[in-house]
Amino acid sequence: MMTRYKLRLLSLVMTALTVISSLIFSTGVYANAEETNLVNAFGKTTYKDYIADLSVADAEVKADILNPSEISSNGITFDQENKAINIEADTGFVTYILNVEKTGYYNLALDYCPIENKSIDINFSVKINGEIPFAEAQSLKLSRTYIDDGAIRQDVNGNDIKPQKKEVFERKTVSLYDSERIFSEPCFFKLDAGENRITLDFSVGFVSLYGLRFYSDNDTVSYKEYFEALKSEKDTTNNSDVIKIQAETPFTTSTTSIYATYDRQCAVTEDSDGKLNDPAKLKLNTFGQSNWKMPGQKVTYQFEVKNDGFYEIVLRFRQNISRGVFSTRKIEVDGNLPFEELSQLRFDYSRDWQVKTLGDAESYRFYLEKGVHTISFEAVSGELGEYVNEFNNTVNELNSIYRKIIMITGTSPDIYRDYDIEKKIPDLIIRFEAVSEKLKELKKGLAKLNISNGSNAVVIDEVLTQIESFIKKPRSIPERISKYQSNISSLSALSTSFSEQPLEIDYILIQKPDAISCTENATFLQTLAFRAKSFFSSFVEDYSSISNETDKEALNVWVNLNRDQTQIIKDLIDSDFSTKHNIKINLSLVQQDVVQAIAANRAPDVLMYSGEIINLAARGALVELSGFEGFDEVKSRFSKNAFIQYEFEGGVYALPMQQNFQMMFYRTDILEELGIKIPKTWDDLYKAIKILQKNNLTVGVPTDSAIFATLLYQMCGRYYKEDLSATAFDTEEAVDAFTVWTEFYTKYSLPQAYDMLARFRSGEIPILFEAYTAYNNFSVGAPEINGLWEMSPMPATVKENGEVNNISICTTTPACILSSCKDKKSAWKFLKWFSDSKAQSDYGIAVENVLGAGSRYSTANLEAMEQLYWTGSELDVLRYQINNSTFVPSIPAAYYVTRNINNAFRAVTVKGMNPREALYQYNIDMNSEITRKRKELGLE
Amino acid sequence: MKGKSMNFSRIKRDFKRYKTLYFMLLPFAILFFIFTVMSVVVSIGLGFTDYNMIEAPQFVGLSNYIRMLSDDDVLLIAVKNTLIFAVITGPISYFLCLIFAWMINEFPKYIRMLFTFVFYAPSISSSIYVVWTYIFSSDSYGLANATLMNLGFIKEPILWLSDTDYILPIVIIVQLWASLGTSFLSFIAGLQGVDKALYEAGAIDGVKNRFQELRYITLPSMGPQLMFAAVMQIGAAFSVSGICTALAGNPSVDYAAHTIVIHISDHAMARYEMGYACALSTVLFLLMIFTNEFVAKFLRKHTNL
Repeated sequence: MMTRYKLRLLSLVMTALTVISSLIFSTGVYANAEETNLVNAFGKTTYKDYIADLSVADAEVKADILNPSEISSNGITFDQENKAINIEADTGFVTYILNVEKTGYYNLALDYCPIENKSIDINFSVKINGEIPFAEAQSLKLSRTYIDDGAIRQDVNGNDIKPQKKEVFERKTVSLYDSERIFSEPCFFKLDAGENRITLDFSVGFVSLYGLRFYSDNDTVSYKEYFEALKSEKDTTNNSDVIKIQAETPFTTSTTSIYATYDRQCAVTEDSDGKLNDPAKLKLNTFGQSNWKMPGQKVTYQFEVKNDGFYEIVLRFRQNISRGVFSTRKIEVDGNLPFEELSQLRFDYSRDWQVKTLGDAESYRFYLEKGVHTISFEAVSGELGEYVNEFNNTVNELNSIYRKIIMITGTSPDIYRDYDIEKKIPDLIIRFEAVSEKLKELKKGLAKLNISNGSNAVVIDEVLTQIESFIKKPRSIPERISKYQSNISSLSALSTSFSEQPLEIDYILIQKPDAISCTENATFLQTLAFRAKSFFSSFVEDYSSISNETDKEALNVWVNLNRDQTQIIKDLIDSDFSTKHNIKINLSLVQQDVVQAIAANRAPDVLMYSGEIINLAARGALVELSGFEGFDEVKSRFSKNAFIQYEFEGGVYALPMQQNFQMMFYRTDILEELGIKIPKTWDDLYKAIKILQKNNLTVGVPTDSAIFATLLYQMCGRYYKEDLSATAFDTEEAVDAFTVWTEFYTKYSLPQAYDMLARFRSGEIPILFEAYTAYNNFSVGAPEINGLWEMSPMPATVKENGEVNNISICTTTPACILSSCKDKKSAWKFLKWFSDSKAQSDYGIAVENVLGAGSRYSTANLEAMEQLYWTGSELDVLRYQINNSTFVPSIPAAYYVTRNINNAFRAVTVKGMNPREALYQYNIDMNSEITRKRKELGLE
Repeated sequence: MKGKSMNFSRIKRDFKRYKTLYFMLLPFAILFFIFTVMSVVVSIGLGFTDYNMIEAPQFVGLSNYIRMLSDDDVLLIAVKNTLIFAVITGPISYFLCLIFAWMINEFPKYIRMLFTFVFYAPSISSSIYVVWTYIFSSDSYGLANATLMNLGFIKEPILWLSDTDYILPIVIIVQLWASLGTSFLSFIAGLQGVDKALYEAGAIDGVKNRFQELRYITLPSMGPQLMFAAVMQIGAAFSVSGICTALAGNPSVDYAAHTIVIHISDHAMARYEMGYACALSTVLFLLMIFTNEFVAKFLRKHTNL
């Protein structure tokens, strides 16, 4: 009886609750969803669509290279003697008028030779009659050629040292491929009969053009045809015809970023002398690894054949990076593709080394005449390339749907409320269905390639299952929205893994078929012996010293960087600095604070990329630099005000190495979709915030005090009084800047914590402020939105007289000389050398080559910055912001100022304190600490 | 006079008799002397100077101690926080250790091992507490925020580790979670070491339930372990810093999670005031010795130590 009574009571309460809650919700106002049309970001024709009705014209058209109809105004010269036209500028264009006889599709071949410039591929777009025919023609590339400058050397410890790369200027004729190497054939361009205007518009120039030719190359041969044609040739090979090329010694490479690498795991990997792996020493014994993953990277080897006849090609390789996928290479012999099958050769994933004889069921027989030949391996996207595009498009579509949904529901939807999403977004179900169809199709395609097992399939299946249940039950979308978003991220990660083609080669065998066989992997005993030896030798070998200078007189230089970066500096010292000056450098990688080293009397002579300059200088630990010869010249290498933060009582105590400042990043697609102008001033930004928030999107303003500083200096305020004896936060400007800064979070309730990359790629935060190096994070970390976002200067403060102020605050990392240094002149020479534009750009380029575009070096040297891989338009923006930037001076008590600004900020944004009052109150603390420090250091 | 020389000769005799044992102690004794005794002595000495780690120290008399008492507002916050920590986490964690150890001790061997591992794991994996930064992330997608927002308790994300109302409680919770360390193990060992015959004797003498058993037999026979654990807990409670800085930042907003140890390292590392930091640590050192003495007295009274 009792239980029944309880149940009844319970149900009564439940009903009452339901009624009440439905009453509450029915009076609630639905979020206002603005009906906007989606702009298709990929509006341009793709190459795939462009060649849908491909009909190859059987004709050839040549341009008269010395007679362009139009050229850009500067940087173009004619070389009558060699019959060439030189494009000697970053940007420039040439246009030719061609008389075409036959309408149809043509391939384009260029005869060119690079001109010395920074080591960047030549980049241009092709326009036909003023228009870019398909999206891929926007950015086409011509590679340069590099050789190793000398053979592999050994340092004093017997470890191998990589040779430097040197560019050679070689004239060559190439057919144009898409820059991602997705298609196995050269690009086709459609030309109509009659006059056609062909423009090559260079975004990275420095090239001599010798010829431009439209032709049609329709005769690709299959291996069968190739072999049939050559079968009757006489074969004079014998079993001694075995040529072994150690992959670590290439003849040429197409980029500086692929080079000899170490394999320290397998006992039978052979080094450049053909010896088995050395357990004790670091031997350069393989080529490629994860560096060799970008499509278009090509390595060429040279070899000599003694007898005419048929040869087979065997590779010992390893692909242990792209798990579950395969890498693709295109192989050319003597610069030509012998037969179709070699255009996309597949190298499967395995943890161990593999030996592969080129061929399918039977090995391919290559007919080689007596003499010198070349063989080249080029990374191409191959069969997976198409999927990358498709996946990126799908991710984009899913993200765009995501934004549509959160514009209605917000990012944390009320799960008890029915948003009627499927009615508010009429095409929602149709779009989901289309995506689901597409994904199914992609999955089938992957199954054909035999890689749809394991983690790849799980990711796709998960997205598919979710979308299908969304289609069935649209009501469940709001509560599952966060899982939906994380599914999108994993799908996008999958597509990144498809676009990379890593491969590592140990050696290449060119031999009479079956002459010798190769060992794939070491036996258990070999491995055991190898590991044991390398374990015991680790007690005596010193792999950690970057330098081999044990000399007492060597200059001790500490750098606070990672191992690869330090190694690059060491290489630069060896190849450049040591040859010019007779100064020995002992470079060490130290991430500890230098203060303890000073206390222990073990301080380095030079410290780079770390150190609290003012505090060290105030206590006499640093050498004053402005007295050294050539200081003024060195000073001119950097931003105008860069030394403000390293000045103490009239002296300069450090040089800036890296420089960073905030920029504005924004999603062009979303701003366009919502009709928002790119904010130029803070007022524009407020307007943008209103529109975005109406659509449940928001803006990312970091809570770090750099924004406050930027606002303060834009309002013509300053951090410290003229003599640095106190803060200047008691001024009206400071209160205004502080109020504006805190209002972002109080008045506009912007988020105070957010994952910048995730929310920028999903579009939840389409405008954000970040250090300019975030550019690299976005371009590498979110490939699916490439081209959909841009970087622009910080919004400006507009004064009453209409003057705009765009200032952004810069920060730098220093390099300094310590007072304990005995040879201060040499230390200065070293700093002078390393901070100059040549060393800085060499270093920056090498870092990017080794560690990828994600770690682009933010050099403080203005000239060197121009040499890095920024494109012209990006450089314009950066240059503009650098010209409109300033530095906050540093004082011994700066740490106390920073922390109290943060305290004041939180007091306002979290505790709701009045901004003026908070700043006033915490300012008292700051000033008392500043005074105390000044007394301690005897400044007052 | 006579007594003293007698004493000395006895030490000499003992030393001769046990010289192998002293010899075996030597390696540790040397290390202990260099890295503990020496640094304590040196730091007491440096407390009377203005040492900044770069320039040679100057003797400044008692001025560090005077400043400590008269002109350091943040120190007051640090002392307050440290005491809150010590009073809350010290005893709670001590008794939690004891209760968990006692409960786990009742299990069969393998289950006991499993539970011991589960409870001990957070304290051996030294910085695993950073997972809590994910749980208490201020991002609206942080675990705690997302859950509370989904359940409809809050509308805006709470800035857990920037809001002075939440910082200290969160750090205390995490500290408790991570504190089942050495003392917990020593309790388990102590429980194992109790003579089983005593329980039998107790049962005959009229022990009625497990709690009486615990109070009158188990605890009194665990004196050394209780003492050891208390010393460890007091040390841990007074020197909380890693968790605070990892979760709340260094320094935390408005010094909400500032403890004496953080205050010491703040002066030594960020402000180049090693002398003052040494003076502070001397005071902390004395505070810990005093508390230890107090607890030891209490334990001596209630156990067979």
